[in-house]
Amino acid sequence: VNTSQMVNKPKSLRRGAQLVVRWVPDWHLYVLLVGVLAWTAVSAPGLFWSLSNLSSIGFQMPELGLLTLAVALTLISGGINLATVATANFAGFLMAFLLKAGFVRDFGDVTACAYYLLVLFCGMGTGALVGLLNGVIIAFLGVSPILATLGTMTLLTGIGLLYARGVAVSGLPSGLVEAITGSILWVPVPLILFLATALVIGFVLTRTRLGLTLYMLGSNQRATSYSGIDTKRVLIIVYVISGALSGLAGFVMMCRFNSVNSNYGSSYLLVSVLAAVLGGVDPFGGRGRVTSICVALILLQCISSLMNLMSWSSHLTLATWGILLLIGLRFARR
Amino acid sequence: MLFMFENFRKRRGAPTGDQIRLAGLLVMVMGLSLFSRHFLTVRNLFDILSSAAVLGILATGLLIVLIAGEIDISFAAITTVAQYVAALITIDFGGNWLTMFAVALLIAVGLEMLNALLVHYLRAMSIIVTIATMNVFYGLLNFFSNGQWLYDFPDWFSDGIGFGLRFPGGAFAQFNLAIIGLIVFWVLGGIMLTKLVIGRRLYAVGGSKESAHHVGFSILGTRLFAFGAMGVASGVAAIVHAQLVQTVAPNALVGMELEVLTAVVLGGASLVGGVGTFRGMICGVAFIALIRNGLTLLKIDSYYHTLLLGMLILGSVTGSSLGDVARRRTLRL
Repeated sequence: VNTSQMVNKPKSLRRGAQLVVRWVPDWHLYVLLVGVLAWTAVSAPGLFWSLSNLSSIGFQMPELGLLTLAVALTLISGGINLATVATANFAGFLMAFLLKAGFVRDFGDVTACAYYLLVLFCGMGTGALVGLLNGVIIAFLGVSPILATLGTMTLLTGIGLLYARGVAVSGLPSGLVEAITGSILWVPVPLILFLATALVIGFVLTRTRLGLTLYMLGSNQRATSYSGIDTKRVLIIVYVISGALSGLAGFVMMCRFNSVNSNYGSSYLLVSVLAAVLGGVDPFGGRGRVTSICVALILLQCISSLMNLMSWSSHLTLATWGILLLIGLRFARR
Repeated sequence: MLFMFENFRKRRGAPTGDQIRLAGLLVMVMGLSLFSRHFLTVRNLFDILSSAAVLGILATGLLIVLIAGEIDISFAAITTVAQYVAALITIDFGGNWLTMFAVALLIAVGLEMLNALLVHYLRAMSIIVTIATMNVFYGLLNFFSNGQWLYDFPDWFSDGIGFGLRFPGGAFAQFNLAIIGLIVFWVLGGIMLTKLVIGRRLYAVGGSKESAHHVGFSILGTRLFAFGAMGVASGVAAIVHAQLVQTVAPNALVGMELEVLTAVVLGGASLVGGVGTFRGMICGVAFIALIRNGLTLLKIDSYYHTLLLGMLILGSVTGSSLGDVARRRTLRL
């Protein structure tokens, strides 16, 4: 009697597990997240689950998150954008220049707000222009994306260095900085920006023609081209969007650091690729979901915050992130 | 097959990539020697050689990895780990050149082999795997070392090894460890890539893993060899760099990976694998070394260096790809 029960139980468990694996994409991320959250509950429950810590996680995530989305889109299309951080800093320099140009001094609040928005659009537009350059080089000249974006990265860093002479540009209007580094109903403003962007990108990827074409392009460029799609146009659009997202990241970074420099966030470059791939984006192209990327980002930030609370070295965080990516690669669907 | 294609191209008169690179290099050398009288001196040439030694050694390793169809981002981290551990052991327990090189090579080759195994068994892209391992290596090194610098080297290490050579005209050339290491490494690497079977095998596997596998080449073996060679380069570069700067810092080589990648790519290696020549790589390294040296001699603000390097990369990459398009058109491929 007992034996049949003992056999039955694992069987149903296994079936349940199979269902989860089949129907929950990137299930290993959720397992890892639950594991990390359990770890926080054991080792630092009061500290980790406090409002201040959660909001600091919310402040740290958006910069890396926006850069990760920027690089993830190009990864899905089968390429890569190594110029994201450089684009962000380049756009940051331009925005800082516009903000310091002194147009807003004598304006009222409403006009100042409008001007800040205009500056943000200029920054994203600059990013989009850089993306256009990348896209044209990649689509029309057939240069490999790594090389093209490596070149623009070096070029933009060089221009930034030349413009600021290696010194950080500071002295931004305090109203803007306070607004962006503040919170609305305990939710950090950068987090709201990031979530809105992620929603839009998720919508584009799953519900529009462009998104579908993007996945097709990443899976097989030649077949996509033969099925009557202008692949060059789509490639350029991808890099333009990626550049605009980098510009937005530059805006958030500028406000968070209260200054701009050409070497800010240089460690984000490879970490954003790490986060994207951990979030189930296939580096060969053709696969990737915004939800999984967000879960991966939360996972990475939770680990970072936990290590910080237990006053372990931030270098150990980096090492853990690397190991996590290796584990993620082991479970990634292919 | 490859050689037939090259002959065909030569007969049609279109210059190969290496010929263009060599011509560009010559133009640069002539221009620099016109504008600076210090440039074409034996002393300056040896300064260039010794300051480009680390770049040149690492570029050779990366070229081998790229030809085999892989890419490595973690070698700068591995070089730093090898350098740090070798220096620590030498300072704490003493030793000599042999033990120091042995420790550095052992660590570097071991960690690169780990890369190769991970790439092979996780069936993942090597760029992703090595980004992960780079973070692991750097993170653990900084964690265990607390970011501490090492500089209390024994005398034999500070003195270095080498010999001077007096030329008939009275010029004096100092062959130090960096230059000797670079020359030995380039000779061995060049012979390996162009004359030995294993070199051809790297091109075959890099060109098409599928076909190479069907012909009977071991993919794992080739990967282990390519990453192992990168490990040897990292180990040698580690000691050369430590001897050159006389300090070992856990963050001394951060960002070096992209610079070396730039040099190798300027030299014509493709990231798809199977393409790239030893001569081209040397030209690429020389480009970067000459730009650094030349701009300094011409007293051009160092803030321009990165900008000019970026323009050079974009120019050469788009130029070579335009050349490919044109060549395909003339060959009707």
